[in-house]
Amino acid sequence: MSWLLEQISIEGFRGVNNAGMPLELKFHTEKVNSIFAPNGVGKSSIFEAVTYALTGAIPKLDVLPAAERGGSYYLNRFHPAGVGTVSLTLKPIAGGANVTVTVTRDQNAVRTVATSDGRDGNAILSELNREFVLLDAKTFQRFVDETPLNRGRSFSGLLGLGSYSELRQGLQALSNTRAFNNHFDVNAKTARKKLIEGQLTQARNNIRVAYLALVGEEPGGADTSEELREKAHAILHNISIIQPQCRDKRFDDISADDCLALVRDAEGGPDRDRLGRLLQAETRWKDAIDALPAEDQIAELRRLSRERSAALEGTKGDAFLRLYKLLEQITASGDWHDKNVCPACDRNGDTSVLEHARTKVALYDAVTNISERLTTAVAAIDWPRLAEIENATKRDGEELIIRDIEARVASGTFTEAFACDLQARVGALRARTAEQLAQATSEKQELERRLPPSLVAVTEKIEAARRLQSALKTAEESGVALAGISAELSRVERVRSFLAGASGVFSEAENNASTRRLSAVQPLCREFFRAIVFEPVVPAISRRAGAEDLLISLANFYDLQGVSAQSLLSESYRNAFAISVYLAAAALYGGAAKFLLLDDVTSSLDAGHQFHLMELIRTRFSRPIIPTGPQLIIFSHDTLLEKYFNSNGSTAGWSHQRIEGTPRTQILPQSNAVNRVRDATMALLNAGNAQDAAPRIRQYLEYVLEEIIIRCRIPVPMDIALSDDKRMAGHLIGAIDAQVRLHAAANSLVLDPGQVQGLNLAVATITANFLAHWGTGQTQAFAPGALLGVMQAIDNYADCFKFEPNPGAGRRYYRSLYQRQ
Amino acid sequence: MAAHNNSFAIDDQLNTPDNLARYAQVLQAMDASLGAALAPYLASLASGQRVDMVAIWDALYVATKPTPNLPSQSGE
Repeated sequence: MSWLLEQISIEGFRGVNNAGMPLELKFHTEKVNSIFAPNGVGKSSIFEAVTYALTGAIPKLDVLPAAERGGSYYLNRFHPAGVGTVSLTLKPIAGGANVTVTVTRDQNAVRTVATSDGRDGNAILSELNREFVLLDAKTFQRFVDETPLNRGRSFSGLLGLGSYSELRQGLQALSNTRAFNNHFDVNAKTARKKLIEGQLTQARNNIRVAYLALVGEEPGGADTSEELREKAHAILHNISIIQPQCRDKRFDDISADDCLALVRDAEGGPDRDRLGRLLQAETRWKDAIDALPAEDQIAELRRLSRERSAALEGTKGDAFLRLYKLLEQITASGDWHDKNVCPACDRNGDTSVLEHARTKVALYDAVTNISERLTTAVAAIDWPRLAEIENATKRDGEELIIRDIEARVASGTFTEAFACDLQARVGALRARTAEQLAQATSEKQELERRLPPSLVAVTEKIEAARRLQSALKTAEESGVALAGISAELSRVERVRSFLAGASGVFSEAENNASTRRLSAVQPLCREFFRAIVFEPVVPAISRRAGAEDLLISLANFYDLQGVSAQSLLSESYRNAFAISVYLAAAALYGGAAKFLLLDDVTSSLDAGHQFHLMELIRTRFSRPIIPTGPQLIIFSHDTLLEKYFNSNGSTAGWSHQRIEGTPRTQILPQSNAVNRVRDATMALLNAGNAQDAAPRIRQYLEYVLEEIIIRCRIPVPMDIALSDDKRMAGHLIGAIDAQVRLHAAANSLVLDPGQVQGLNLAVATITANFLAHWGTGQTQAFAPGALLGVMQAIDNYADCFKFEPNPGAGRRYYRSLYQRQ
Repeated sequence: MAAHNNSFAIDDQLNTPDNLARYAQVLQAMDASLGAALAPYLASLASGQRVDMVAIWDALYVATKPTPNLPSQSGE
């Protein structure tokens, strides 16, 4: 749905007090609207009020140092209720009833949004919040000065692709490899999978060796575990001594210990038991040696812990990390123009605070990176098994150190010193296990020589069966574990692959749309730029391939081609460039908001270029000339521009109004509201408030004088409107007085003698009691009683230019100073 | 059409929600269950709000859970 702006109503917000009498600015939806206000009257407050309504924030207040308490200045400090209210009355282009969206903010910064017809006000405001709806000079300066990346991001919004840009960034963040891997613990899981694969390989090798010792042949490549069990069972079952232990049992259920007991019973002797135990010990120590991590694995842990300690020395804990990240976020923002100013202390140094923050954050990133590598390296080692070996080889008085290694890594206590101890301990375990194995093997060989060969062979078969049982079990458990972690990693990989694909597809679509829309914007931008500057300068905008960056340059600068816009263009031309881009984008890709508010966007332009820009808006861009174009609302304090506004204000396609007042009391539109100004002034004077009444008296006086000039067709000097606000009224009185004298001298004056005398009396009162002090700024000299007399004198002065056509018909202005009607 | 299920172009004639709906269809063509899991988050991601990425990752991971082959209950 598209909307035009029919009215803004403001009370208690920024520089607009207007307690009980909201400032109401009505706009013509089918005309260009201009609002002139002298400095300090509240023009920018109006712009900021609409900014707050649409965006929920006023950036210039939010970036103030905390001590300034910028948030407390959203509201007008003089408003008695301490609540700011901004209402936007919107007219649907498609027809139907107007909708008023009212936004309030209280002293606790609580924002409420309501609509006149119960619609979702936040949704409407969100729709209206497009990049080109609220434009001021800073917006255009930023566009040129911004980094290509930030410029590109804001430009996406101009092209109507802001939401798509946000989605693309979101998808890219989701598929970011590092964040993704961290969330799913991919590196540790991959290392764990590798460990299990190693254990499975080891178990299969053990199966092969044990099966060979038991059966006397290598397992067949195609044999299943069950087939291996059947053959192994058959071998044991054929040994008559242990047959009772094998009958009617599955291979896994045959107890090697019970079989050895039968052998012992058959021939007796402690050597038989000892041989069995030695065979078990030999297997156990071989397995232990296989389970020890390689020396280079432990050395890697020590190296990583050393690097981690070194990296940690460059950091100062989590609190500082949060500080640096916040610092980076603030100073990287487009609103933080001087990167050398510190947001915390406001000091301006010689180096970039942003770069400093990034350097500090990078130090933390290095710690994270090394920690991740350490975690991955730790996960590749079977620590529970290693702890068992340590316990089995423990020396008296020795402390066990291989426990909770993962927890130690996570808590940051896996220091280089600990890694050094660990390296020594694993080395000791390697020596101890080798020593234990050698002892068992030596003793076993000695016993085998002493015992009868047949029973040695049976015992060895039984021990081989025990090893085979264990290896088959390990292989099956490892297989299950491997299948589990593989499935988990496979699911994670499916998500990763999906997100990468989703992100890639969307990025390409957004890039294509952006390129397409950029191509459409550029010609119109050039046309607008040419209409403003009238010089052989041709702007160019382009996207960096595969990136968000938006590059600006000059296709032509007089005879030069392909040159830097930032380097060559004057400030005014840079602004003209930016204005052209924004207007072109708004013309082509306007959204729900079919209105633009421009706040002092011409401040860098000279009178000629101001005129060209306004003519461009009036004749080629906005309603009513372009019936489907946007509605323009232009705010300015420029007195030259006001002349242009005044000239156009009387035409069919333009509406002009002027606002006056003070932040302390009220700001009111001058057009069609002179009675409100008069009433408000009288109320202030009757309340004894001369200070706030004085600006209104000037406003009322100027209005009355201008009305006399217009109604009585009194010629005035061309530069009459260019005077400052201290002298304007005096010049207007002077111009009127000169014409009265001229016609009196020519004996053509229509005023009667009493009116001429009344003029002089009124002017004397106005000048002596008001203008004399106003012109010198001595406003403290005003007294309420005297100013009430001034108000009466102003009315008397106007009355001198009126007559009563018929008795009781009311008084009206003379047609001119020499024509009654 | 099916051959181009995995390609997507922003249609200038459509508004943002409609384009996102079309994109959601493309995602489901890429991977039905993951596409369905991600679709509810597209509007939030496009709005520029702070989105809980962990919640999205977890929802996607849950969507990869294999569905058991249930015996037919139709009796046919």
